[in-house]
Amino acid sequence: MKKLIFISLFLAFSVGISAQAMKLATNQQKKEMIATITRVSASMKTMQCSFEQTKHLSIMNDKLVSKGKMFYKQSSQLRWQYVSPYAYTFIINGNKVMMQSSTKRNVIDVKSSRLFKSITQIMMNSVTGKSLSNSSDFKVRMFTGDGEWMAELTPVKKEMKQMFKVIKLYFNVKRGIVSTVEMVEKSGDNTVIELNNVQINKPVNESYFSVD
Amino acid sequence: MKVTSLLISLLMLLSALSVSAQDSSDSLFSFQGNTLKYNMSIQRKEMNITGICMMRRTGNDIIGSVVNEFGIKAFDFDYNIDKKKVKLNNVVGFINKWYIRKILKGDLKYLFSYGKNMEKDKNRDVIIGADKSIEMDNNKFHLKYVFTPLNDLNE
Repeated sequence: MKKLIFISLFLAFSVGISAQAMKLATNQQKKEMIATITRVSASMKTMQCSFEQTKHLSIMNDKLVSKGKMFYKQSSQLRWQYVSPYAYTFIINGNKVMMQSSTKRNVIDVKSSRLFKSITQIMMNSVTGKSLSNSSDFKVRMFTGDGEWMAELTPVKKEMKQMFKVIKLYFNVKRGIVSTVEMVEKSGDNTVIELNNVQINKPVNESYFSVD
Repeated sequence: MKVTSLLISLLMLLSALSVSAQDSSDSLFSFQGNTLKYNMSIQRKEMNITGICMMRRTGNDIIGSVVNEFGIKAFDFDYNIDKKKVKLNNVVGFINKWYIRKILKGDLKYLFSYGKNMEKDKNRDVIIGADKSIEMDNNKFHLKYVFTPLNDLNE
Protein backbone atom coordinates (compact mmCIF):
# COMPACT_ATOMS: atom_id res chain seq x y z
CA MET A 1 0.00 0.00 0.00
CA LYS A 2 2.82 2.38 0.98
CA LYS A 3 4.52 1.54 -2.30
CA LEU A 4 1.33 2.40 -4.20
CA ILE A 5 1.00 5.75 -2.41
CA PHE A 6 4.65 6.49 -3.13
CA ILE A 7 4.26 5.66 -6.82
CA SER A 8 1.07 7.77 -7.05
CA LEU A 9 2.80 10.70 -5.37
CA PHE A 10 5.81 10.31 -7.63
CA LEU A 11 3.58 10.27 -10.73
CA ALA A 12 1.61 13.29 -9.55
CA PHE A 13 4.86 15.09 -8.79
CA SER A 14 6.27 14.18 -12.21
CA VAL A 15 3.16 15.51 -13.93
CA GLY A 16 3.47 18.65 -11.84
CA ILE A 17 7.06 19.11 -12.92
CA SER A 18 6.11 18.55 -16.54
CA ALA A 19 3.36 21.20 -16.32
CA GLN A 20 5.61 23.60 -14.46
CA ALA A 21 8.40 23.13 -16.97
CA MET A 22 6.44 25.14 -19.54
CA LYS A 23 7.59 28.74 -19.37
CA LEU A 24 5.74 31.72 -20.74
CA ALA A 25 7.59 32.79 -23.90
CA THR A 26 8.99 36.29 -24.26
CA ASN A 27 7.54 38.48 -26.99
CA GLN A 28 10.55 37.76 -29.18
CA GLN A 29 10.26 34.00 -28.62
CA LYS A 30 6.53 34.17 -29.30
CA LYS A 31 7.12 35.90 -32.64
CA GLU A 32 9.73 33.32 -33.66
CA MET A 33 7.59 30.38 -32.58
CA ILE A 34 4.53 31.62 -34.45
CA ALA A 35 6.68 32.38 -37.52
CA THR A 36 8.05 28.79 -37.48
CA ILE A 37 4.61 27.23 -37.05
CA THR A 38 3.13 29.44 -39.78
CA ARG A 39 5.98 28.53 -42.14
CA VAL A 40 5.54 24.80 -41.53
CA SER A 41 1.79 25.15 -41.87
CA ALA A 42 2.14 26.98 -45.19
CA SER A 43 4.38 24.24 -46.58
CA MET A 44 1.98 21.54 -45.42
CA LYS A 45 0.09 20.46 -48.52
CA THR A 46 -1.34 17.35 -46.88
CA MET A 47 -1.34 15.76 -43.46
CA GLN A 48 -2.63 12.42 -42.23
CA CYS A 49 -2.51 10.70 -38.89
CA SER A 50 -4.36 8.55 -36.41
CA PHE A 51 -5.67 10.09 -33.23
CA GLU A 52 -6.81 9.15 -29.77
CA GLN A 53 -9.36 11.37 -28.07
CA THR A 54 -9.87 11.17 -24.31
CA LYS A 55 -12.82 12.94 -22.78
CA HIS A 56 -12.57 13.37 -19.02
CA LEU A 57 -15.92 13.77 -17.28
CA SER A 58 -15.64 14.87 -13.68
CA ILE A 59 -19.31 14.17 -12.84
CA MET A 60 -18.88 10.59 -14.06
CA ASN A 61 -15.44 10.14 -12.55
CA ASP A 62 -14.75 8.39 -15.83
CA LYS A 63 -13.40 8.96 -19.30
CA LEU A 64 -14.44 8.18 -22.84
CA VAL A 65 -11.66 7.17 -25.21
CA SER A 66 -12.33 7.39 -28.94
CA LYS A 67 -9.97 6.57 -31.80
CA GLY A 68 -9.88 7.59 -35.40
CA LYS A 69 -8.07 8.87 -38.46
CA MET A 70 -7.54 12.36 -39.79
CA PHE A 71 -6.74 13.57 -43.29
CA TYR A 72 -6.06 17.18 -44.25
CA LYS A 73 -5.43 18.78 -47.60
CA GLN A 74 -4.55 22.41 -48.08
CA SER A 75 -6.29 24.71 -47.88
CA SER A 76 -9.79 23.75 -46.81
CA GLN A 77 -10.29 19.99 -46.83
CA LEU A 78 -10.43 17.92 -43.68
CA ARG A 79 -11.66 14.42 -42.92
CA TRP A 80 -12.04 13.61 -39.22
CA GLN A 81 -13.19 10.01 -38.82
CA TYR A 82 -13.94 8.13 -35.61
CA VAL A 83 -13.65 4.38 -35.90
CA SER A 84 -13.96 3.29 -32.30
CA PRO A 85 -16.02 2.93 -30.13
CA TYR A 86 -18.42 4.65 -32.51
CA ALA A 87 -18.44 5.34 -36.23
CA TYR A 88 -18.72 9.02 -37.09
CA THR A 89 -17.23 10.97 -39.96
CA PHE A 90 -16.95 14.71 -40.26
CA ILE A 91 -15.73 16.16 -43.56
CA ILE A 92 -15.03 19.78 -44.33
CA ASN A 93 -14.68 20.61 -48.00
CA GLY A 94 -14.63 24.36 -48.60
CA ASN A 95 -17.93 25.72 -47.38
CA LYS A 96 -19.60 22.32 -47.17
CA VAL A 97 -19.63 20.09 -44.12
CA MET A 98 -20.75 16.46 -44.14
CA MET A 99 -21.53 14.61 -40.92
CA GLN A 100 -22.20 10.91 -41.07
CA SER A 101 -23.21 8.84 -38.09
CA SER A 102 -24.21 5.18 -38.16
CA THR A 103 -27.78 6.20 -38.87
CA LYS A 104 -27.82 9.54 -40.61
CA ARG A 105 -25.91 11.66 -43.10
CA ASN A 106 -26.16 15.45 -43.20
CA VAL A 107 -24.58 17.98 -45.50
CA ILE A 108 -24.73 21.61 -44.54
CA ASP A 109 -23.37 24.88 -45.79
CA VAL A 110 -21.21 26.47 -43.10
CA LYS A 111 -22.18 29.91 -44.35
CA SER A 112 -25.66 29.27 -42.94
CA SER A 113 -24.39 28.93 -39.38
CA ARG A 114 -21.94 31.23 -37.62
CA LEU A 115 -21.34 28.61 -34.95
CA PHE A 116 -20.55 25.92 -37.47
CA LYS A 117 -18.23 28.26 -39.30
CA SER A 118 -16.34 28.88 -36.07
CA ILE A 119 -16.13 25.17 -35.24
CA THR A 120 -14.85 24.20 -38.67
CA GLN A 121 -12.30 27.01 -38.58
CA ILE A 122 -11.08 25.88 -35.17
CA MET A 123 -10.72 22.29 -36.32
CA MET A 124 -8.79 23.22 -39.44
CA ASN A 125 -6.63 25.79 -37.74
CA SER A 126 -5.92 23.69 -34.67
CA VAL A 127 -4.70 20.79 -36.76
CA THR A 128 -2.39 23.00 -38.80
CA GLY A 129 -1.56 25.58 -36.14
CA LYS A 130 -3.00 28.44 -38.18
CA SER A 131 -5.14 29.69 -35.28
CA LEU A 132 -2.05 31.32 -33.80
CA SER A 133 -1.86 33.95 -36.49
CA ASN A 134 -5.60 34.57 -36.47
CA SER A 135 -5.75 36.77 -33.40
CA SER A 136 -9.34 37.92 -33.90
CA ASP A 137 -10.69 34.58 -32.59
CA PHE A 138 -8.33 34.00 -29.67
CA LYS A 139 -6.01 35.65 -27.25
CA VAL A 140 -2.78 33.69 -27.71
CA ARG A 141 -0.07 32.99 -25.15
CA MET A 142 2.95 30.88 -26.04
CA PHE A 143 4.89 28.64 -23.68
CA THR A 144 8.18 26.83 -24.14
CA GLY A 145 9.13 23.49 -22.66
CA ASP A 146 11.49 20.60 -23.11
CA GLY A 147 11.16 19.67 -26.79
CA GLU A 148 7.66 21.08 -26.79
CA TRP A 149 5.87 24.35 -27.34
CA MET A 150 2.42 25.12 -26.10
CA ALA A 151 0.00 27.66 -27.48
CA GLU A 152 -2.74 28.66 -25.06
CA LEU A 153 -5.75 29.98 -26.93
CA THR A 154 -8.38 31.84 -24.95
CA PRO A 155 -11.57 32.41 -26.98
CA VAL A 156 -12.58 36.00 -27.58
CA LYS A 157 -15.88 35.47 -29.39
CA LYS A 158 -19.13 34.69 -27.58
CA GLU A 159 -19.89 31.44 -29.44
CA MET A 160 -16.52 29.97 -28.59
CA LYS A 161 -16.57 31.23 -25.00
CA GLN A 162 -19.79 29.26 -24.48
CA MET A 163 -17.98 26.04 -25.31
CA PHE A 164 -14.36 26.48 -24.29
CA LYS A 165 -12.50 28.12 -21.48
CA VAL A 166 -9.19 27.55 -23.20
CA ILE A 167 -7.68 25.46 -25.99
CA LYS A 168 -4.09 24.28 -25.68
CA LEU A 169 -2.09 23.24 -28.71
CA TYR A 170 1.12 21.32 -28.05
CA PHE A 171 3.73 21.39 -30.79
CA ASN A 172 6.64 19.12 -31.52
CA VAL A 173 9.50 21.66 -31.66
CA LYS A 174 11.59 19.66 -34.15
CA ARG A 175 8.79 19.30 -36.67
CA GLY A 176 6.83 22.47 -35.88
CA ILE A 177 3.56 20.54 -36.01
CA VAL A 178 0.73 19.95 -33.56
CA SER A 179 1.09 16.79 -31.48
CA THR A 180 -1.71 17.24 -28.93
CA VAL A 181 -4.83 19.37 -28.64
CA GLU A 182 -6.45 19.96 -25.26
CA MET A 183 -9.83 21.62 -25.02
CA VAL A 184 -10.89 22.79 -21.58
CA GLU A 185 -14.55 23.56 -20.99
CA LYS A 186 -16.09 26.11 -18.66
CA SER A 187 -17.06 23.25 -16.31
CA GLY A 188 -13.39 22.24 -16.07
CA ASP A 189 -13.85 18.99 -18.00
CA ASN A 190 -11.39 18.55 -20.80
CA THR A 191 -10.83 16.66 -24.03
CA VAL A 192 -7.33 15.64 -25.02
CA ILE A 193 -6.63 14.65 -28.62
CA GLU A 194 -3.27 13.07 -29.35
CA LEU A 195 -2.18 12.94 -32.97
CA ASN A 196 -0.05 9.88 -33.78
CA ASN A 197 1.93 8.66 -36.81
CA VAL A 198 1.71 12.10 -38.41
CA GLN A 199 2.65 12.05 -42.08
CA ILE A 200 3.17 15.29 -43.94
CA ASN A 201 2.87 15.84 -47.71
CA LYS A 202 2.06 12.24 -48.56
CA PRO A 203 -0.62 11.78 -51.25
CA VAL A 204 -4.17 11.73 -49.91
CA ASN A 205 -7.03 10.29 -51.92
CA GLU A 206 -9.35 13.11 -53.04
CA SER A 207 -12.38 10.87 -52.45
CA TYR A 208 -11.77 11.12 -48.69
CA PHE A 209 -13.12 14.67 -48.85
CA SER A 210 -16.22 13.92 -50.87
CA VAL A 211 -19.34 15.41 -49.34
CA ASP A 212 -21.79 14.41 -52.08
CA MET B 1 -50.37 -10.81 19.47
CA LYS B 2 -46.66 -10.03 19.36
CA VAL B 3 -46.06 -12.86 16.89
CA THR B 4 -48.87 -11.58 14.66
CA SER B 5 -47.44 -8.04 14.62
CA LEU B 6 -44.01 -9.43 13.86
CA LEU B 7 -45.40 -11.47 11.00
CA ILE B 8 -47.27 -8.46 9.64
CA SER B 9 -44.09 -6.36 9.84
CA LEU B 10 -42.11 -9.07 8.09
CA LEU B 11 -44.72 -9.39 5.36
CA MET B 12 -44.74 -5.62 4.86
CA LEU B 13 -40.95 -5.58 4.66
CA LEU B 14 -40.91 -8.44 2.16
CA SER B 15 -43.60 -6.77 0.10
CA ALA B 16 -41.65 -3.50 0.12
CA LEU B 17 -38.50 -5.32 -0.96
CA SER B 18 -40.42 -7.07 -3.69
CA VAL B 19 -41.79 -3.73 -5.06
CA SER B 20 -38.33 -2.24 -4.92
CA ALA B 21 -36.86 -5.19 -6.82
CA GLN B 22 -39.65 -4.98 -9.38
CA ASP B 23 -39.04 -1.24 -9.88
CA SER B 24 -35.39 -1.88 -10.47
CA SER B 25 -36.01 -4.63 -13.03
CA ASP B 26 -38.66 -2.52 -14.75
CA SER B 27 -36.20 0.29 -15.34
CA LEU B 28 -35.12 0.92 -18.91
CA PHE B 29 -31.52 1.15 -17.77
CA SER B 30 -29.84 -1.67 -15.89
CA PHE B 31 -26.78 -0.24 -14.20
CA GLN B 32 -25.48 -3.07 -12.01
CA GLY B 33 -22.68 -0.81 -10.84
CA ASN B 34 -21.49 -0.01 -14.35
CA THR B 35 -21.26 3.17 -16.35
CA LEU B 36 -23.64 2.85 -19.28
CA LYS B 37 -22.58 4.31 -22.60
CA TYR B 38 -24.98 4.98 -25.46
CA ASN B 39 -24.91 6.48 -28.90
CA MET B 40 -27.63 9.06 -28.51
CA SER B 41 -29.58 10.99 -31.06
CA ILE B 42 -32.30 13.59 -30.77
CA GLN B 43 -34.36 14.03 -33.91
CA ARG B 44 -36.94 16.62 -34.80
CA LYS B 45 -38.21 16.69 -38.37
CA GLU B 46 -35.07 17.26 -40.48
CA MET B 47 -32.90 18.14 -37.49
CA ASN B 48 -30.73 15.39 -36.06
CA ILE B 49 -28.31 15.84 -33.19
CA THR B 50 -26.03 12.94 -32.34
CA GLY B 51 -23.67 12.32 -29.47
CA ILE B 52 -22.67 10.04 -26.66
CA CYS B 53 -24.56 9.66 -23.39
CA MET B 54 -22.77 8.25 -20.37
CA MET B 55 -24.61 7.57 -17.12
CA ARG B 56 -24.22 5.71 -13.87
CA ARG B 57 -26.21 5.17 -10.71
CA THR B 58 -24.86 6.51 -7.47
CA GLY B 59 -27.08 5.93 -4.44
CA ASN B 60 -30.49 7.35 -5.25
CA ASP B 61 -29.28 9.35 -8.21
CA ILE B 62 -28.66 8.63 -11.85
CA ILE B 63 -25.98 11.02 -13.03
CA GLY B 64 -24.81 11.45 -16.57
CA SER B 65 -23.35 13.53 -19.29
CA VAL B 66 -24.16 14.08 -22.94
CA VAL B 67 -21.28 15.05 -25.22
CA ASN B 68 -21.00 15.26 -28.97
CA GLU B 69 -18.64 12.97 -30.88
CA PHE B 70 -15.82 15.53 -30.57
CA GLY B 71 -16.16 15.49 -26.80
CA ILE B 72 -17.87 18.87 -26.48
CA LYS B 73 -20.35 18.69 -23.63
CA ALA B 74 -24.02 19.41 -24.26
CA PHE B 75 -25.15 19.01 -20.63
CA ASP B 76 -24.83 17.02 -17.41
CA PHE B 77 -27.88 15.60 -15.68
CA ASP B 78 -28.78 14.29 -12.27
CA TYR B 79 -32.02 12.35 -11.71
CA ASN B 80 -33.08 11.75 -8.13
CA ILE B 81 -34.98 8.47 -8.05
CA ASP B 82 -36.87 9.18 -4.80
CA LYS B 83 -37.93 12.70 -5.71
CA LYS B 84 -38.33 11.89 -9.42
CA LYS B 85 -36.60 15.15 -10.18
CA VAL B 86 -34.10 16.00 -12.94
CA LYS B 87 -31.43 18.65 -12.61
CA LEU B 88 -29.50 19.86 -15.65
CA ASN B 89 -26.03 21.33 -15.20
CA ASN B 90 -23.35 22.80 -17.45
CA VAL B 91 -25.76 23.21 -20.35
CA VAL B 92 -23.91 24.48 -23.40
CA GLY B 93 -24.83 28.04 -24.33
CA PHE B 94 -26.77 27.54 -27.53
CA ILE B 95 -29.25 25.08 -25.95
CA ASN B 96 -29.34 26.79 -22.59
CA LYS B 97 -32.85 28.20 -23.04
CA TRP B 98 -35.57 27.73 -20.43
CA TYR B 99 -38.00 26.03 -22.85
CA ILE B 100 -35.36 23.57 -24.09
CA ARG B 101 -34.31 22.77 -20.51
CA LYS B 102 -37.97 22.24 -19.57
CA ILE B 103 -38.59 19.75 -22.39
CA LEU B 104 -35.31 17.92 -21.73
CA LYS B 105 -36.04 17.62 -18.03
CA GLY B 106 -39.53 16.29 -18.67
CA ASP B 107 -38.32 13.73 -21.19
CA LEU B 108 -35.42 12.53 -19.04
CA LYS B 109 -37.72 12.24 -16.05
CA TYR B 110 -40.10 10.07 -18.08
CA LEU B 111 -37.25 7.86 -19.33
CA PHE B 112 -35.70 7.29 -15.92
CA SER B 113 -38.99 6.69 -14.12
CA TYR B 114 -40.35 4.46 -16.86
CA GLY B 115 -41.72 1.16 -15.58
CA LYS B 116 -44.65 -1.19 -15.70
CA ASN B 117 -46.39 0.50 -12.81
CA MET B 118 -46.18 4.04 -14.10
CA GLU B 119 -49.08 6.03 -15.46
CA LYS B 120 -49.33 6.08 -19.24
CA ASP B 121 -48.34 9.40 -20.78
CA LYS B 122 -50.41 10.13 -23.88
CA ASN B 123 -47.66 12.38 -25.26
CA ARG B 124 -44.80 9.93 -24.91
CA ASP B 125 -44.10 6.44 -26.24
CA VAL B 126 -41.19 4.16 -25.46
CA ILE B 127 -39.98 1.32 -27.68
CA ILE B 128 -37.28 -1.10 -26.60
CA GLY B 129 -35.38 -2.70 -29.49
CA ALA B 130 -33.99 -6.21 -29.74
CA ASP B 131 -30.49 -4.69 -29.62
CA LYS B 132 -31.41 -3.11 -26.25
CA SER B 133 -31.78 0.28 -27.88
CA ILE B 134 -34.33 2.61 -26.34
CA GLU B 135 -36.46 4.94 -28.40
CA MET B 136 -38.70 7.55 -26.91
CA ASP B 137 -41.07 9.74 -28.86
CA ASN B 138 -42.26 13.02 -27.46
CA ASN B 139 -45.36 13.39 -29.63
CA LYS B 140 -46.21 16.86 -28.35
CA PHE B 141 -42.95 18.41 -29.54
CA HIS B 142 -42.26 15.87 -32.32
CA LEU B 143 -38.99 14.80 -30.73
CA LYS B 144 -37.46 11.35 -30.97
CA TYR B 145 -34.72 10.24 -28.60
CA VAL B 146 -32.74 7.13 -29.51
CA PHE B 147 -30.25 5.47 -27.15
CA THR B 148 -28.21 2.67 -28.72
CA PRO B 149 -25.77 0.78 -26.47
CA LEU B 150 -22.22 1.68 -27.36
CA ASN B 151 -20.14 -1.39 -28.10
CA ASP B 152 -16.52 -1.03 -29.06
CA LEU B 153 -16.42 -1.55 -32.82
CA ASN B 154 -12.91 -3.00 -32.52
CA GLU B 155 -14.01 -5.72 -30.12
